[in-house]
Amino acid sequence: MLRLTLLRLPFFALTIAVSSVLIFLASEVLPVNVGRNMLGMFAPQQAVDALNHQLGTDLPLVERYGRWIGKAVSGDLGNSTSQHLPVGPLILRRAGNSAVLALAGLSLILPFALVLGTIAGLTAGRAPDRVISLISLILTSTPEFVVGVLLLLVFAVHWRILPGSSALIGAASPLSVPSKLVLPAVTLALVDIGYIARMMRTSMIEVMASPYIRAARLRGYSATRIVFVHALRNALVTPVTVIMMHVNWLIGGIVVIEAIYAYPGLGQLMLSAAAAKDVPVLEAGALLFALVAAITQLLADLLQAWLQPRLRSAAA
Amino acid sequence: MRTLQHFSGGAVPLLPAILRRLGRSKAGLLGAAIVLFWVLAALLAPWVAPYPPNNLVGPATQGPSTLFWLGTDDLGRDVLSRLLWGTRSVLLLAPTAVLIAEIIGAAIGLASGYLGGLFDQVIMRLNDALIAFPTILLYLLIIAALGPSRVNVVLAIATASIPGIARIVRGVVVSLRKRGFVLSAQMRGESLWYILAIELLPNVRRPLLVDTLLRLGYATFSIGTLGFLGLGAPPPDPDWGGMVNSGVRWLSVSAWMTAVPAIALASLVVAINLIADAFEEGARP
Amino acid sequence: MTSALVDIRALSVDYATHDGLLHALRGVTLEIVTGEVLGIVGESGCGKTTLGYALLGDLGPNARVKGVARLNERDILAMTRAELIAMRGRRVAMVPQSPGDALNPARKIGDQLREVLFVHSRLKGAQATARICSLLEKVHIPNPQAIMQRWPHELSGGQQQRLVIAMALLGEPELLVLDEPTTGLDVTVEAAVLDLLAELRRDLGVTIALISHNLGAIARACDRVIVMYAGLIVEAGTAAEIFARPRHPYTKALLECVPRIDRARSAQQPVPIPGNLPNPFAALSGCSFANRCAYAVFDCLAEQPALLPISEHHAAACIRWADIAAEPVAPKPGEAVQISSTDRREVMRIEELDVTYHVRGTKGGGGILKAIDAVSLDLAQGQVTAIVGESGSGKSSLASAIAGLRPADAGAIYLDRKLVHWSLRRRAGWTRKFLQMVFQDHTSTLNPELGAGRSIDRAVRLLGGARGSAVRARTAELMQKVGLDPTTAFRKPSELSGGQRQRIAIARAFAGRPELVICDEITSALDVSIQAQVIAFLQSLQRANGTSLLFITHDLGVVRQIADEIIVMYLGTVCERGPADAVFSGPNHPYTQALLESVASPDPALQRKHRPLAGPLPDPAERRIGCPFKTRCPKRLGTVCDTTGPPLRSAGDRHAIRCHIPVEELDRHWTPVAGTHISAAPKNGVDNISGVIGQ
Repeated sequence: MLRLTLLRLPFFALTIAVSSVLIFLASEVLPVNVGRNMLGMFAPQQAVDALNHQLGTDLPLVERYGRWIGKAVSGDLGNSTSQHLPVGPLILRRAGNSAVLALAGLSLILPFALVLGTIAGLTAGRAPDRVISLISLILTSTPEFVVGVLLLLVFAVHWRILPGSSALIGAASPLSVPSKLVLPAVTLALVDIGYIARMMRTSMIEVMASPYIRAARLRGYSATRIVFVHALRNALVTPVTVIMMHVNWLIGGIVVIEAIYAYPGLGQLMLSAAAAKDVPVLEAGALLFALVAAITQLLADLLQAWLQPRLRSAAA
Repeated sequence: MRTLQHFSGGAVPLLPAILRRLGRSKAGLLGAAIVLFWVLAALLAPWVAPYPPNNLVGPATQGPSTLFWLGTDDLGRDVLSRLLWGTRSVLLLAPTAVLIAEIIGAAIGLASGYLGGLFDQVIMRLNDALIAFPTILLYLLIIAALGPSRVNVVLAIATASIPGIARIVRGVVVSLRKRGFVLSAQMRGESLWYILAIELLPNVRRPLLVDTLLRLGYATFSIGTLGFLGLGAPPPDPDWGGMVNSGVRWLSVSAWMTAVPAIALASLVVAINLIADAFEEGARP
Repeated sequence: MTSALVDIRALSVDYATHDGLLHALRGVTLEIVTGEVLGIVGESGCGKTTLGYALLGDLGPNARVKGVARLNERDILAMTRAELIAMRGRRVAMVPQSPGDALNPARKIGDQLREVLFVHSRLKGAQATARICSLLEKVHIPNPQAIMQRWPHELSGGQQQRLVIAMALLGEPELLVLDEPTTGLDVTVEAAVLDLLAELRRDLGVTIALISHNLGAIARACDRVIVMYAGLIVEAGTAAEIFARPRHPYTKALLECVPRIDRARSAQQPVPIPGNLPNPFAALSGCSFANRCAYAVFDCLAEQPALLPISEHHAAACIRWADIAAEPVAPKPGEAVQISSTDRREVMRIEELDVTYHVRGTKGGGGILKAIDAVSLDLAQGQVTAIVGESGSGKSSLASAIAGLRPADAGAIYLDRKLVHWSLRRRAGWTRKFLQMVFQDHTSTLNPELGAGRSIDRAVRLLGGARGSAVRARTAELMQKVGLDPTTAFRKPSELSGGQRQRIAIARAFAGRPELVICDEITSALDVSIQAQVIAFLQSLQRANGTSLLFITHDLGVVRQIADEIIVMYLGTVCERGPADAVFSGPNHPYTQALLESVASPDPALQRKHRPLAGPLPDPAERRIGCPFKTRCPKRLGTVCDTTGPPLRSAGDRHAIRCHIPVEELDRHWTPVAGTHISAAPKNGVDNISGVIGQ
């Protein structure tokens, strides 16, 4: 296992590197004059040029990339051009909030999705499956913002039992006002439950049709034993790895949900940064997201290998 | 061992098979009906919509009335008309983006999978890195960089889809390239183009078809989301996502201008996924 | 009178499918007697597997069942779920096809074994471990404690098979059902498994039902045999009776087309059975075999005959069984073996060919493994050379290397006396016309999305130089030469049978009139009668065109039928080569001898004494030093085998053996040993030659 981890690391590093290049290039295409942005419209051109030179925005592309990476690695991510705050702590705080939201969502998604998916898989074709599959399909097809808007309509506008906005004062933690976390977390959960339940269902059906399950049945094992001792572990492999790679989608959902509910997370920060063309925040935020995504993909790979012993001895 | 050695029911041409599979599933038919409805709405919008979509024709944020069947939005525009015209946008952009992505992605996957070697390795690493990159970020970066417009939406969605498609196609090609019929083609001296286009491509058709259907749903989903985030087609053109966005702050006043496009979008994506599901179920023997 | 353990009456099983009702079993009546080994033999589609699963009550939700299958008075097919769970594993156990599939890949072997024991007898802990280890020893799995810590994928095919058999026995069942237990196993491994079954029957008294299409295995292992065709039993009797005096035309035809290693090529020719299987979706009118039967008369079309008794232990479902009795099984004589003379044109030659690949060792070591190690051979025009070996011998790598599909790391390949590049892509155009290949897997040899004849058209165009309508004509001609209706060219490969697809592949290979065709295990996945058909057409094309054939196979019977010359490979080296008759009569390399002895012949009277090959395979690094067979050779001389590569010694005209033992001391070929049927096999297979009745 250790060897496998070490083998995967170069690819991980490569993924991060490529991501950082992409982010850098994308933000380079932005028609932004950093100096002008910081000093405002009325500052004299001389001052703007001087600031640009000081910031190094007139250096060649490769050099600027190098500088940025170098600074990023050492923890200096520059200052936000729109909020005039250091980017590092800002991002980390927001990222923390997003993480809270993500975890809240996941804690709802996982038990429901896995259980419902298993039931659907085991009763494939029959009534419980049809119902679960239909609901899953509707949930997974409905964009987050639609779910969010509808939930808002019902719980915040019509019945008024939950707050419609999750904006927080200053640097407060979302956990301090739990009711503000409910709707965003539930929205996040609803969309993903459908997807993961379907994944689990398919996996379960495949596993139950595999020859070793039939062999177990032929040995006179009870249905309970077959499902819990043999089928589940193998059926969980694909969904678990999918869940981990799903972080990609989760991040997307988080951005949208934070937009709907004005939740002070990293996603909302990115959106406002995009609108304000705040390059340092965009770059640093994107880099953080990419880092998280790459880490989870690495963990997903390793987890898959751990669950499938056959892959452990195979080469990278 | 299959007992039908001599008598297996044969494989039949693709299109009739698709339609037959759809026909077998009630859900699939429902999905097809819904999609058809929206397609008709898009085609007939210029004649059926009661008002021009961008004109201020009435009092703002009204609920449904005899004049305005679905109410008005925050600027006084007719929701129904905007809904119908907005259909054109969604139904044009999603298939375009998916089609472009499928063509490019398939080409990359075919070449990479068959040629192997360094070329394949490089492409696959780039691919993996792109897939790992959060999709919404990709959209954000592209549109923030290039500006919100219809073309850029298509570009963003296509770019985000290509790596996934390439990976699927490559996977199929890699599993096929050591098969007897490919080796036989090599041994009789077929050219590279023949092998890629005539021997391999038809075998990629089926998985690609399923993927296309699913991706259509996801592209529609994404167009809605981008519109909602303000990254889609710029105002004043009717865009369902954008309509939801502008309506959110008026939820307590009039929910119609928000709920209508939201549900419309959801119905379209659900319908596409129902079709994709029915097709996939039917594909299994 | 011994009691019937299982009593099946008028069992019929239909499956409801999209395409209609599939008739898998059409009314089967049989008894399985306690303590016997019953062989259930037949080709694809005969229903034998369905019968096997019926014994376990596991027919699937879309099965429509009629009739009874009684296990000691209780009908299996009427059992409740709970009763079935109680019965399975404890009273009836199944060893399914493909042993690797029966094991959970994500659990250690020890855990899976303990689980079986716990479920069936509630045994745990040290007691359980002891019982498991003793059973593992009984099935000859070495080092049981270590094996229990391993994962299923770490075991070889033979070991997996033994393991699954052990698992089936842990419940101490009364009846053991084995579904194709030797498919996919090497010949020597197969022989060992069959020996094991005999031992188990003797030591544990378990009743065995052996389902197989391998006539040789059935002949060796079974007391009684039933022959199935199209969902019916067509003949039943003792093994001796069935194989020596078959009374049903199908059985007879089957025995006539099975390739035998004890008959020279001049004495046997592949004789396919004409016609096709009846449609499994249609009801039968008349005898199921009538449309293919050489003895069919008008009355045969009236109704399916019942099993008519012939003697106390022999019955056949044929109204003309008495007439068939008059004609013994007599395969058609074939052509004599051609000894290639030196003035024949050389078509292909390889010198010191190496093909290597990197391998991961078991403990993190490992290194370079040579699939082929300095192999040289040549082929003359019109000659048929067979390359024989088991898995790991390198024969398929050799075929791929010569074809240019796999890189050779050293050595030279000459086609038509001209040196060619190892890579297909870098070879000149004429080589494509010169050399063609037919592949093993008939399911992937044709593009599933294109018409079946498309690749023949392309071959005709590219290699045969035809244009326009001439292409169509030539394709039709080729298809007729392999016995196919030209309209088959427009159907999709999935509509065709394995035999038909393989025949198209052969037609395609001969389209450009090549000088050399390589056949890589082309019939391994086909039924016996289909195999006969394919080989027959291959031979006719080969003879008509004067093409040389390089025929890769593990089936020595087929080798005997078609080869002029034989090359025996072991772990990448050639250990023996020579004209077919010479190699089959001896003297032989010890490995060749082991192979010949292991082959199960469809003649119970003809069972050989064989020595199971014991011992591990040598490590990759050690393989190149000395003789590769040193770790398993029953005739090992001593340290010379470990240190020095054996010399190539001549054993006759063009017959060479690579061994340290002088040719005179190598045994002449096996002699048919009368009466050493499996029921009298010695306790652990290690023999002493005394007591063998010579020819």
